[in-house]
Amino acid sequence: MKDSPLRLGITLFIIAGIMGLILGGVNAVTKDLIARKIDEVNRAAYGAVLPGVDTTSLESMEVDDAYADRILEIYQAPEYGYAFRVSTQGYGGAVVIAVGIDVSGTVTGIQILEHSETPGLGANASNPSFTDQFIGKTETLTVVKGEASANTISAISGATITSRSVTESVNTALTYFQEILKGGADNV
Amino acid sequence: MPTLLVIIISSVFVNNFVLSRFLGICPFLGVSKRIDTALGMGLAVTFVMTIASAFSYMGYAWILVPLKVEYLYNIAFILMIASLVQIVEMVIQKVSPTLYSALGVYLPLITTNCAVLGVAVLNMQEGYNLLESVVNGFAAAVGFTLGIVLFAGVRERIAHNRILAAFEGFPIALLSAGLMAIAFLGFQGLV
Amino acid sequence: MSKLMSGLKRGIIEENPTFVQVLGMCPTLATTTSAINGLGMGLSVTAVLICSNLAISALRKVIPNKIRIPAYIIIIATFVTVVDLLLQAFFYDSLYQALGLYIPLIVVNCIILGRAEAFASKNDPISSLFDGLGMGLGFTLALTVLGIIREILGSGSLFGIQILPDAVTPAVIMIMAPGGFIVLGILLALFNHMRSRMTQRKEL
Repeated sequence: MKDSPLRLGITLFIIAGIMGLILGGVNAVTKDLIARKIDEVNRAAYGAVLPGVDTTSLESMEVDDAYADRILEIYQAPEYGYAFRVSTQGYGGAVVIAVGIDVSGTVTGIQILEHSETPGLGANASNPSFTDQFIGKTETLTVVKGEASANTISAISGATITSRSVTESVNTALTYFQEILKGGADNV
Repeated sequence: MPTLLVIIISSVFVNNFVLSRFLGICPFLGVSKRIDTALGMGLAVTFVMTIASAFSYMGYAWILVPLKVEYLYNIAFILMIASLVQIVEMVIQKVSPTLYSALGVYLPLITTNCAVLGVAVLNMQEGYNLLESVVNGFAAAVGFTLGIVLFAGVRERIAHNRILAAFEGFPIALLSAGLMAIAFLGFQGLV
Repeated sequence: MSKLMSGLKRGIIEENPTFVQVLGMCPTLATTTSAINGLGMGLSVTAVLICSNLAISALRKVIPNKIRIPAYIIIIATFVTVVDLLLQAFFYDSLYQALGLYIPLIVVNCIILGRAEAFASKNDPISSLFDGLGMGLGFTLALTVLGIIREILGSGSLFGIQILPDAVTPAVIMIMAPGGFIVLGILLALFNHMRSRMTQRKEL
């Protein structure tokens, strides 16, 4: 019987099997490449927010449960500082940034990693003119519309919500450092 | 992890699947000439998307991940959706022949509806758990239904107008959809 | 050679998937925020189309009619996953991030299943290969044109190079959701207009 369910099933199974073999092969070839690529991109981002650090020395750390919904990853560069991957709701979705904090608790740099903000407005958060403001900050920050000062950040005009979201992520990282990591660094 | 309410508002309004994410455009353009067919399609899609979200989560988290073959998610999801649509079609045929004759043509189209596969992939990428996946699937489908029914209302009205020959059919539909999309942009910043 | 030419002519002009058949709308609207993204998506779909058309045509006498749809789906999904993995491995920073969700969604692109049903299942592998190439290139052309228009109007650039002077603020809405609908609608209307003019001339 040409069209018996058994024969149909077996034919489908064979086709699936051949396709599975092709896929398994391609996967085996690309798996390491992809893993390395992702690691490389992450390290490059964390290296950018910790200027001067040797990115191969970065080691992943466990994130305290209380912060796990906001802080996605922490990498430690021994003797140097920490790189955080923080997510906060922005205007069009979650904004994920990298924050670098050195062992004295000073922000060394930030970089916007993922966002769905408005092009031309919130998307300008990626510009150094905005992100450079965070370098050197040590205390909790607030966003203002005009000139920035010691513990304030000047918002991007027309993108207050995005500016606040990025600032909150930085504050989260600073708080984490002061409450959880600093104690450890002092003990070293 | 956003709360369930944020997920719902996001998928229905802020990131409406059809007017913002461009998922489900083919049925959106094809089945929206009349409000009642649009509603029927919307309900069928809602049913399929909710169940598909549940099964795709279970398949991914309970089978693919433990076996470390996550890269097979695409094949697994689409086969599951195709089977699900087949089963739904058979069930509707048995249970309600009238509903089947109304929707019959559109049901197989749900398989290639990017919204169904799209929500399954999105749930996986966002790392939602089972409850969040199902809620997101349901909300996304509600957003799709909202979009398609509103659009059908607009198109029913346009059908009575005189339109330049070149714009008849898809072009004027697309322009109307564009205006609707602008309106939905107003929801940004809500969550 | 004539098989190649007929496949190309059919796919790019006569039965252009985007402008004539109006298929595969989701990626058309979603990935044309810039010229390079449109081009990249078009080429990815072309790659899958060629492979799946070839495979399905080669197996067309072996696949029983009753299970042809699941079989086609398995074959297409396999090639889409292959393209996904290759893009991840070699174009991670650029195209993979830009196309995002829409790469796995290539599997439900009506064009691919449509050509498998309409052509590859009924014709020899070489013709099917050229058919896939033609349809893919037609799709790529449409997406690239759409991407160029949206990028110039919405970002003031072309393939990443700034061409509008700084003084001119681009219409950001063009690279957001509404822009996709509006530009495609106008392009389709233009295409319809040109086609009706050509048929009018033929009748004279």
